[in-house]
Amino acid sequence: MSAPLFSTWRGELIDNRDSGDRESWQESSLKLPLSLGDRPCRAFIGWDGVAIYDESVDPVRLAMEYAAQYQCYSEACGRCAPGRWGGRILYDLLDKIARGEGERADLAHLQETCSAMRATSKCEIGRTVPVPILQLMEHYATIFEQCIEAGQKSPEYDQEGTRYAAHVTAPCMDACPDRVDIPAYIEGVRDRLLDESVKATRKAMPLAHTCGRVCPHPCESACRRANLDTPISIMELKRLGADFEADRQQHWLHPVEKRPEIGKRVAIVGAGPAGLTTAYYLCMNGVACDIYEALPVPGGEVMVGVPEYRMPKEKYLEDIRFVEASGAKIHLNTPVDADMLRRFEQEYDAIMLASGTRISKKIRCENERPEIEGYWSAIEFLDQINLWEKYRIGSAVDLTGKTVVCVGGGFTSMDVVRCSIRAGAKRVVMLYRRDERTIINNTSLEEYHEAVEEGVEFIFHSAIAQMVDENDVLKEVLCNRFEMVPDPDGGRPKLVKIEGGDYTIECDYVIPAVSQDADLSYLPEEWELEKTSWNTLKTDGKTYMTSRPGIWASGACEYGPMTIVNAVGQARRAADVMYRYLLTGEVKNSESEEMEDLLRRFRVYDKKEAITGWMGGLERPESERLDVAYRIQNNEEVNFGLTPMQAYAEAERCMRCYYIAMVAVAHD
Amino acid sequence: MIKLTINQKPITARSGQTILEAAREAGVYIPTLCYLKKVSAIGACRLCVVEVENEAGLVLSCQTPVREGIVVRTQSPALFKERQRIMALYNVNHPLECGVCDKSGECELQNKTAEFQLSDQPFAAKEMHRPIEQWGGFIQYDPSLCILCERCTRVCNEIVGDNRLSIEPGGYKSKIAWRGGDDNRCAECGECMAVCPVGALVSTHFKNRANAWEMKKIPSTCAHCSAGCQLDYEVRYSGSAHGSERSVYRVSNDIHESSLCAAGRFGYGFEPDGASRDEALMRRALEAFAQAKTIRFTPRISNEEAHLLQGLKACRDVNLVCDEAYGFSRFLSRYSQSAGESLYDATTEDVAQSDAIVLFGCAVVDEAPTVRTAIHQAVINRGASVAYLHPIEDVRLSRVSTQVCRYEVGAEEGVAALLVRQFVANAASLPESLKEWIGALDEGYLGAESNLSEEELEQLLASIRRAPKRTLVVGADLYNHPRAEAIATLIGLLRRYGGFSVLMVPPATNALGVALICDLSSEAQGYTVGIDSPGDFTMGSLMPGVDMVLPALSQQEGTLTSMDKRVLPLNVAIPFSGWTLGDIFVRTGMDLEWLIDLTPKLPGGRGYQAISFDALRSASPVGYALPVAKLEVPTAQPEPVEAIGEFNGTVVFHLNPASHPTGTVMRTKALRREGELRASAQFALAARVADGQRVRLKSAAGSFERTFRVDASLKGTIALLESFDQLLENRSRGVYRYETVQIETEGVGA
Repeated sequence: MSAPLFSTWRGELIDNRDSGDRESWQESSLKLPLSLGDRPCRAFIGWDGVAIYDESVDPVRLAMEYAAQYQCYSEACGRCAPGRWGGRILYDLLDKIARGEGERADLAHLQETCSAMRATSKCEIGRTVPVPILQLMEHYATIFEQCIEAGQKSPEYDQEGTRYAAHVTAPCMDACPDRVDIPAYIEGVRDRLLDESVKATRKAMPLAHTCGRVCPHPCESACRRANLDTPISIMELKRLGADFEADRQQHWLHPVEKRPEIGKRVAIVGAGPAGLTTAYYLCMNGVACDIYEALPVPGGEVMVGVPEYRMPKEKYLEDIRFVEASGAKIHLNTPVDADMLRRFEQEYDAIMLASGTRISKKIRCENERPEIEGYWSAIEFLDQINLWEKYRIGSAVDLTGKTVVCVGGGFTSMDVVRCSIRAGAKRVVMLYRRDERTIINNTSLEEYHEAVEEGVEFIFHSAIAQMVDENDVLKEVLCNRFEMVPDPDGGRPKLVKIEGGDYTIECDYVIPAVSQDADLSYLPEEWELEKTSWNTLKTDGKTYMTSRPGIWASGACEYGPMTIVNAVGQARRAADVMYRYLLTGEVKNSESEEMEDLLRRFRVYDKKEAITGWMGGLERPESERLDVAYRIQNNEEVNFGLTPMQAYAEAERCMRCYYIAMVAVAHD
Repeated sequence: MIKLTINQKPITARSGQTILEAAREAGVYIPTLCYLKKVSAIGACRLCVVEVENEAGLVLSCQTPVREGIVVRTQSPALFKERQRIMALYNVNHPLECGVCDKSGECELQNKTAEFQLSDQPFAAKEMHRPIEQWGGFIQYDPSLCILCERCTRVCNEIVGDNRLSIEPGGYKSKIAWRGGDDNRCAECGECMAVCPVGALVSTHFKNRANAWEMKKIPSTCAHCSAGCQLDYEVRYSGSAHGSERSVYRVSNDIHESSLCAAGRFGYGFEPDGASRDEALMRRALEAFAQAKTIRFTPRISNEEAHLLQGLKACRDVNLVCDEAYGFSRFLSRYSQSAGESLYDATTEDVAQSDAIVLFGCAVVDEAPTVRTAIHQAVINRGASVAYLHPIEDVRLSRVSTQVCRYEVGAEEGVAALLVRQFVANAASLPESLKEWIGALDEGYLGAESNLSEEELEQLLASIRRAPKRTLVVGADLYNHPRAEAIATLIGLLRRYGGFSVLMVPPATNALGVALICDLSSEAQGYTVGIDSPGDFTMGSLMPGVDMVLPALSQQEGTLTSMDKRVLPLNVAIPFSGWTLGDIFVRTGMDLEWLIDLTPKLPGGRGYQAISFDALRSASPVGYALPVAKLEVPTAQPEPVEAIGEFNGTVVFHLNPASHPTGTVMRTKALRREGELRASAQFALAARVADGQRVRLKSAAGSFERTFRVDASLKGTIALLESFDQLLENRSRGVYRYETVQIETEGVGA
């Protein structure tokens, strides 16, 4: 909560200009940004409104600077007449007024141009740029008129005291932990230029195949199209560009050209998504990277954890080869220990720790003893299945005639139960403490639906209380039943055990897939790296450097087990910070990174916003899937992806909700 | 079907159609500048906004699909105002010197400016210098006239397949960027120019020569290859009052429905000089025909002319020799017997609708630009797999091909046999004898000698596994192969049992018509009348120095039979003042007023129909299609596969570029040039020739000179030899397209 001098954000008009002293100012109900990094905001202007925090802000200059930002943006586009010419005229006229040369007719011309841009621009950016400009012209009309009538420069026109930091965002991009340029890759699909599409993806996301298949797509929950009908199938649209590159042998479609070597080296621990991402962006910036991987295969948990039917090995290898094409070297079968790290610190210019979370957490039930035959951690279970199915390493898992009980609720547990079905289990039970809606929220509707189709038995509101064995051989599990009691304060519902609701399930295997812990025992003790209360590596969450200079951490070992896109997002940010560190020795976020973080706190998506200029009632397409009876007998990829025609129609639904956000701060 | 209302008129539309498409089909006008029917919606101009009841704001009709029950309004004062505003923005800084612009009179910006009643330019921005750019040989781009409608980039990507154009972003400085220079990958087809709504893209051959309203459009069928593209010759009288002469000023087409290649668009003006109706000349011609034992001709004649010649053969036994069509005609008839169908079944439209496309022995980019377009459509719209089976990889297919199999030169029969084994072996109801033949194939030998691996064949099979519609496109590499007829039998089996539709690319303009209408012989014997071919008495429109000049295909009425098996009309763009083939036949006593009286009399047994010439032009689409009839024939037994011969030494591939399909282009102003010998740097090294060097090629058939060019887009050791400029001694006529030659550089003049 804060009390701005003036704000129009989200339809809330606050005008404290005549409200006397600050104590009596009306507060905003919004989380308006107050600072950019450590610099206090003087104004925050964007697609929907403008907030001004103090009287010294020059509204004419602010409007002109905002229009100038659009001018910069349209330098990168200019693909519709209202945007191309409207943006130019907007800026020219505002600058004319600001420098004291405006005429009355210019205000009418401005209105006219804004109106054309509002009504017919191709992207939301063109439609929204006039919004705060018109608001300033309305609410600060006297200052605009003063400039014109008196032929005066606007108060700050020649002043250098204020810095205007701008950032292009979109609701979907803001919700993406990796800030993938979603509208751009969708535009590539719409334009039938799939190479441009995959290049746009890879500006932030090297693993285009992977995140075109198994991303939990938080972006889709922030898609404005949902305000009109249904969210865009953002994730699946990503797959087209990646498949184009692979199927039409376009190796490789890098988003930018690799820069010359800068003579620096980085060691990366772990060849999972975070490690691969760090390596890719550093290598493309001319930094030499060595990735050390303990397993005999590259790819980390996505390779050995995510099953073939969901993420085919060959497709993931496309992503990995793409990363290798940037020059990254992956050293397999090379577990890193404390001595090696000490050496790395001498030999390399920086280190990224991206070792993931590879220890399955316990269920925390009675008699939970790993030595009981039938107790099988999810990590070990999936390792065995995937190493065999994908690489023929180890041995096959055969569950013919067996009953498997998995405890979980996230993607890992879904992988466990669906793999169990494919391994021939007689009965597969998923035990989950909460309800169906929560499991769908935690994973995805598709995932849940497919698991049910394949015959997984979901038992909700249940948890294992005790494992029952005979001579260390699992016999059955004793389960408690719970009920969810709503929290009167609006928090997560509380689980309350139902007395007398206990029951047992006879089973051969219990597979805990509740969560994973990081194994950080390989770190040199004397480094004394700070940890979180979850026993993961502690960073500031902005630069991702650990408590020890030169040592970074990203992915699950930093955040705890999360999504691939989260790991990639952290690693990409870290790689950018590391690159600047390698050049300057400074560990600092860029202004654009600060803007990203500022906008994330504010949240770009507004689910209450009414959409204009688009016809609703168009549903998202469903991609074809392998027939259930066939797919449960093998590991073939279940989802065929969208057909080209489905994808184009879907891309046409995308509203290209680019927005410009701009903050005025005092100059350094 | 979806029901909606547009301007209070109830309309039905197909699911997936856009509001704009539905409106246009229903005859409702919605203004557009960027819309181009044949490509995907562009959405740049924003003029097509409409009002949809109960929807806030304006809806872009070109990208919004119809929805059941919507009520659409395309005209209202508010819409007029918005469209007017857009036009005001379009006219920011657009030069108003329409008087010196080639586009004036047919300029869409000019039309829309008038339509939205803009009499002045209310807005302006600072002007900047934007130099005119030259895109290749004949296309000029003027960025200051460009309105960024993006049509050109769309057609280059979606229709041509070159993807040489893109938006160079820069806000109001945005322009179109051409990347076609160094790697020689721009087809210079002028498709971008044709679709330009303003005068930003023009041809240097047309620039400043005529105004749109001064020319008359004569619709006809393109004379350059067998695609049968429909075009308009735009003609005008020029010169002094005394010597006023009609000539073709440019070629255009219906840009929304069709496309043209460089040959079609720029290859005009090929009409011969020196036509005369000299009686003495006619007497000589009559004498020549009277004593002729052979008529030797090219497939650049009409169906009606072919029918005349066949009539001559029928009444007194002359040999009809057509080197370019002979192999194809034999191939086609063997194929028919094997496939059990009177003709190959597929059309280019079938290719566009395919899920899997296999190209075999067909250098499709140069040989069949319309098929290339269809392949792009299949890839873009259906994600089709495309396997390119050819001894030379073509980088221009790299955006579409899913598989490239470079087999050995000469190995076509072996490759065809392996395809039959791969695609036919497991077919239901396969005759025992065929099973045995397949079983007896020496796969190891065939695979090794043809350089087609088991993995490649497996990948090929996998690519069609989930492809309901599969098309096999075959081309001129096969028709004159020493084992052409054996190969034809195998292709027929792929049709009959392999689940493939088959499209053949005829080797020349009317090769299919000639093959169907004429009973051809292989060798010229005795006294020969040559029509654009060597002979004792020569006539024609293309070959220089003939005894009697005949009308070009742009100077006569008649029909052609296209690759898509359509009978298509030719019209008179330029009057002809000499004798025609028909005149000679009339003089010999034939009762014939006009040659096109023969159009409904073309052989019905070959599928030609009793449809009058005049009815062809008014049909929609133009002309008619020959039906494909099922033949009651037993399964053909393939011959044992012959040992695969080796092609060692310096090998050339006879291939003319799409822009220069035949010698016809040598009579045009824009395209006339000498053919080149092009090859990779690797070839240059091995053959010890340098870029730009003059070389002499010697083969069994004679020797001739070329300039050698190193082509960075080529790999491997086979050189491409253009021979379109060699009308008489055209070495690609009727022989296998690969040849071992000797290259000499000593004593070759510049």
